[in-house]
Amino acid sequence: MLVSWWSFETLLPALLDIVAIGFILAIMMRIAVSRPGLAVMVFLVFFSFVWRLISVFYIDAFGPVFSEELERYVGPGLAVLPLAASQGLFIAALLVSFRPQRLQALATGSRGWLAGVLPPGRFDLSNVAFWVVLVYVLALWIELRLSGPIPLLAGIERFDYTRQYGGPLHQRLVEWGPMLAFQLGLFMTLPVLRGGRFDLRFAALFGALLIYLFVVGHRFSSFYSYSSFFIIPVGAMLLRPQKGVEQRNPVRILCYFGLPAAGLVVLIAAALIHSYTVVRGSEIDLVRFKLTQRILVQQGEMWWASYERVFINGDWNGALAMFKLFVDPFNPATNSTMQFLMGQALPLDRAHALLTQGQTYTGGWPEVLFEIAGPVGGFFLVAASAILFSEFMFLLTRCIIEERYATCFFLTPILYAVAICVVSGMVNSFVQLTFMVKLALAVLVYVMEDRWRASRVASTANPTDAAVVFERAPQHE
Amino acid sequence: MNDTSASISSVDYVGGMLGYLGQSVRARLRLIVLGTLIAMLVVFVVDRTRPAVYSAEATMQLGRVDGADVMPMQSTVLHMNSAPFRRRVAEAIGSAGGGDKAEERLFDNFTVRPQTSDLASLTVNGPSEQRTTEALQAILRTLNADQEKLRLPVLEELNTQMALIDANVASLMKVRETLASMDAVAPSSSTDPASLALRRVWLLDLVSRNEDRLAVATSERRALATRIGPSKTYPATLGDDVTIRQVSPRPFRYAAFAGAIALLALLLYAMMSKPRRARMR
Repeated sequence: MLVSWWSFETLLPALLDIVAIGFILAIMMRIAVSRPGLAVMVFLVFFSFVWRLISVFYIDAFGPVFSEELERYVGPGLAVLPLAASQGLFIAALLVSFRPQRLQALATGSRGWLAGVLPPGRFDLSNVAFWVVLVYVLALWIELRLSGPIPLLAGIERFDYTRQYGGPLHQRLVEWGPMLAFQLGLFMTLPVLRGGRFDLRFAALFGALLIYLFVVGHRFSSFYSYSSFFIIPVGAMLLRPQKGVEQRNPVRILCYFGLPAAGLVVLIAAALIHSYTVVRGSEIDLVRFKLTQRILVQQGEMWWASYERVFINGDWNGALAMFKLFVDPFNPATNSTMQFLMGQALPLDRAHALLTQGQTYTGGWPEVLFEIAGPVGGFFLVAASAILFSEFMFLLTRCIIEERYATCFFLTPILYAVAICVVSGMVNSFVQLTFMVKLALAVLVYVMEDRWRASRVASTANPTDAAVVFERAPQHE
Repeated sequence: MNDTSASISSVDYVGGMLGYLGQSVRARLRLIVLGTLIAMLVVFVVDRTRPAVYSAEATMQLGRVDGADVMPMQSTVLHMNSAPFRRRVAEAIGSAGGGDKAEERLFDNFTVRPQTSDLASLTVNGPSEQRTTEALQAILRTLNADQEKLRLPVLEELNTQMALIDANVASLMKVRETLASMDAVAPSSSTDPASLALRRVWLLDLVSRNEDRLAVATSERRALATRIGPSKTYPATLGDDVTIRQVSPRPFRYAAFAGAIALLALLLYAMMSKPRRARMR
């Protein structure tokens, strides 16, 4: 009997996938329209979610499709369903953490508090930050000019340039770039929190960094991550409940970013065209195949491989996963999640050969959580990671709105680790000694700034009494 | 009210916070210093009582037979990480060291990491430098004993070929001697110059063909000897550079960690407890 394409057996899975993907996309759209600040803050994650969802849907609906990286066919199936459920849990945690009552509580007495208690004086914080970063960016360009060929003109891949020619400043940018972008976004936004205008000096510095990345051969992923971190403080500012007559229209503020965003899109398009036509000129005949792989297959293939192992075959080993993630990864200095997933999805010698070359695939979250805890327990880990991320983002929002600069500075590496965990599934960064030190410093600075502010509030309310308290405190031990 | 968009002095901002920290520390200085020192001292003393553990790290070259790996690197690593292999290693080390279960558990936690296609790094812990080195040797012996099953059939085949070639060479040598002796006795057995000349030509042809065959056989033997020689056939071996370091006890290191954690906790306590008393007043 001939089975037509619209038969019940083929239509039902497609309908289920469409309903799941439609539900998640509708919620994201709703958030983007009703709470644009939240969408801007988590743009890094939402963009990745949408792309992966579409890619997995493509594999599910149009499979079997050939995966160049896995060297096998993937799909069809219902892989979208658990992925959409995981993303739904994540969005739910986000909405609970950023519920209106909590945000409303942030509005009380936060606006301009610091400027109110600290008199203007020497070394304005924004100026110090601006000059420090300006010197760094200028030194970066000088280093590029002195260190050898310019990748854009010489057609060198960014990895090759970093390995062969990258100077110490370039290496630092590769390691800390997204975090620097977050700080630039923070200093650009801070005057708005005090009722002023955006400090466009920092936007100009960010632009200079993006052009530098373009010149040294970076393509889409770097622009995406740098820009996503840069706009996090803008999102926090938009989330801030407004009081009084100075209501800021979020749409107007987003339009304000329209022109730079268009410029960024043009830059990314130019970088991609240059990469495929000049740097990888030999692959020009395969452009269509390569783009299909890059856009529609590579984002979802690792999730499909995990879905097949864990949900279809029931083949998962939590103890092995934990051992390979935390105890004995192939290379402990980088993301062990993708190393483990590649080891599971590919022949081991091929996976190790690729990892030795420094090549990794896309994905990691929530694959790794299901590899650790299985098809049911994985959802609990997804919920835990979603709560961790959303609560951390709320803490960061609070620190930005309350102008806790020092805390924001020390929370930045934690933000990077938490964001990378949700986007790439990296979990071994949390057990590194350096992360522990960063976490300890962040906690220390948070408490110090919090208590210092409390003492300033106390001394502002009753200066004489507070001074007496501080002098006599040791006698009451 | 101040202008909300006014600049903020970084000196006042950072100085204010550090001043507050200094004030909090001064208020609890004795507790912070004593608490940190006590934590360091306790960890130092406790860690010193732990038994010594040494870690030896060496590079292992995989065994080869006839120029090919006895077992590919990934298979070797999987094999060495398997539970039965670890059990055999623990038994081999345990029987040499008197069957101490604690020692066996210590040795059981060795790790193998592939470095290149034929080199792997091998790390093992042990209670003394000598025992750790012995453990490395025991792991290697166990691996070679396991791989012997794979090496033996190939070696036997090569040895059989070698024996056949040796027999062939011996036979050709014997023919050469016979031909030489026939050449020597030939003049006395015939007086006809024509038949003598023909006989000599025939003998020379036989000698020449025999020499060719002998040369081929000798060459084959040499090639086979190279294939089973030490450059192409060898068991897994350890590199000369074995690094041994003490990993436990390390009282100074752990005392420093404990001191840092205690210091952080006490600083947090000092800062968080102070305003509470201020509110109580």
